[in-house]
Amino acid sequence: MSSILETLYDMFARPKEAFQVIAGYGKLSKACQIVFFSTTISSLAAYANVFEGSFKGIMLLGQIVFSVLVWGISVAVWHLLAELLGGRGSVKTLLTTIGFTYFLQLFIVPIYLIASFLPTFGFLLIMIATLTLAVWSIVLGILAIREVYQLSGGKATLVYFLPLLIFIGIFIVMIFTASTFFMSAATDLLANPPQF
Amino acid sequence: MRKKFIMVLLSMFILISALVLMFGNKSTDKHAVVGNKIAVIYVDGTITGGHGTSSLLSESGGTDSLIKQLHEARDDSSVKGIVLRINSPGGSSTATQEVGEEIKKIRAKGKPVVTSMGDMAASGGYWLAACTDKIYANPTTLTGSIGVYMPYSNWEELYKKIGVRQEKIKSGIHKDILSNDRPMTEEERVILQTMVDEIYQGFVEVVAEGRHLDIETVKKIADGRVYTGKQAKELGLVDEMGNLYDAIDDTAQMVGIHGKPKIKEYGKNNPFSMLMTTSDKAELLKTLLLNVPVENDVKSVVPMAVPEKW
Repeated sequence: MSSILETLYDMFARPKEAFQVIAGYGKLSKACQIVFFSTTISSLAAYANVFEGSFKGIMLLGQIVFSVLVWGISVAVWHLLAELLGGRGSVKTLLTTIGFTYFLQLFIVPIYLIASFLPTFGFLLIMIATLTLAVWSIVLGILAIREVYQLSGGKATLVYFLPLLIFIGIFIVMIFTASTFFMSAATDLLANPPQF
Repeated sequence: MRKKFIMVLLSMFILISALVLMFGNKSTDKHAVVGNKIAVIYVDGTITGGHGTSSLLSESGGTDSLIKQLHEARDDSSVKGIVLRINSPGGSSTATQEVGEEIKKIRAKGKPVVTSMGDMAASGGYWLAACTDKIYANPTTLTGSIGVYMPYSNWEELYKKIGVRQEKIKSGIHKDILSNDRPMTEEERVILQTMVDEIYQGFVEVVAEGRHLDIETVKKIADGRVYTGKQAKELGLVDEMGNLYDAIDDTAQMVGIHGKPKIKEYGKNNPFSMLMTTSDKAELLKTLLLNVPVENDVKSVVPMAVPEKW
């Protein structure tokens, strides 16, 4: 297997080949290191200069824990959906492959630095860069699922977005339920106005 | 080899950026920008006590949330001054007094508070403005209305026409004071007039103290009438003509901020909290409930620092 730096280079230049290599020879311990260092450095940079407020330390720790949890949970859900859609692959391989994509987070650090010197347009620059990296990250995630489970591009995209769609669906149902509850409470209150 | 070299360069660039952000950039830009904030706090609509409208993510309307915002601005060391954007016809005198006292405490701790009047800053709205260091108004702003009233309506004749006769068992002769099914007695009128006079005197004193005017001078202009911003400036009730941004710039100058200050707005709802709020339903419910005649309805008889017609 080529070195980790060469693999990461290939992940950006030739993601398909790189994911095949990671799926075949990638180590989970290396992926863990990438996730931990990428999240820590990008969060430190963000909390150091861009975001303000109290409890920075707690927020930083929370951000790292949250990122690791999101990594594990999302991979578990994608694995389940990929298997349901006929894909065959290992959850450990997907965890390793997705872990390698976390390196992308580090690209935001130089953007934070540039933004800190641009008080007016800095926030806009961060927004654009974040959006770009998010799209890039989604593309890498879909490619990773496709390579690990040998799925078609369409199915891999569906696997990637299905949890999000389910979450949005649950959220809409919750909003409707809450609205119905408040309206019925309001009707009860109008029927029996409070007395002093 | 080429790939490794590029990735090493990239990693070093990222690492150096992170180190500069964490250690190098702190003493220069960050504090210059982060510490130069002017808080903008909005006083919108009728001033009422309590929580106002609460939702999962926000609180708005009542003076409790307004006081909370004032405390947040006071405790934030990056906020150097506060601009109070008032667009209110007034409201409950107690709630207004409570907020006014908080403003005075913030000023006493060294943070200036400047008022920017919107369409209207009358009565209770003006009370709050009078507690601040400086007042900005637009020439057409409606302000003034310095006075207090206690609303009362006698529906006795209507009740007779529709055949309603209310019976009461009361613990004392004044327990049903301001009851809408009987005329007010002279004794009750004296009691209530004394209350209104006392609150009015307090209002006049706040204006006199805040605007550095004699009590008698204030009393001459405090007959309850509204003034335009321009008239108010001539009478000494307002300092400058200008909009919100003039007030912000002036506050920045007062605290020694050079260049454009960073504005920190309080109480602005984000789209998510707007989605989760129940304000519309709560407002509707409040309006409907206030129209239901309720015996001894405390809300309808509390002394109001608000113009009767606006």
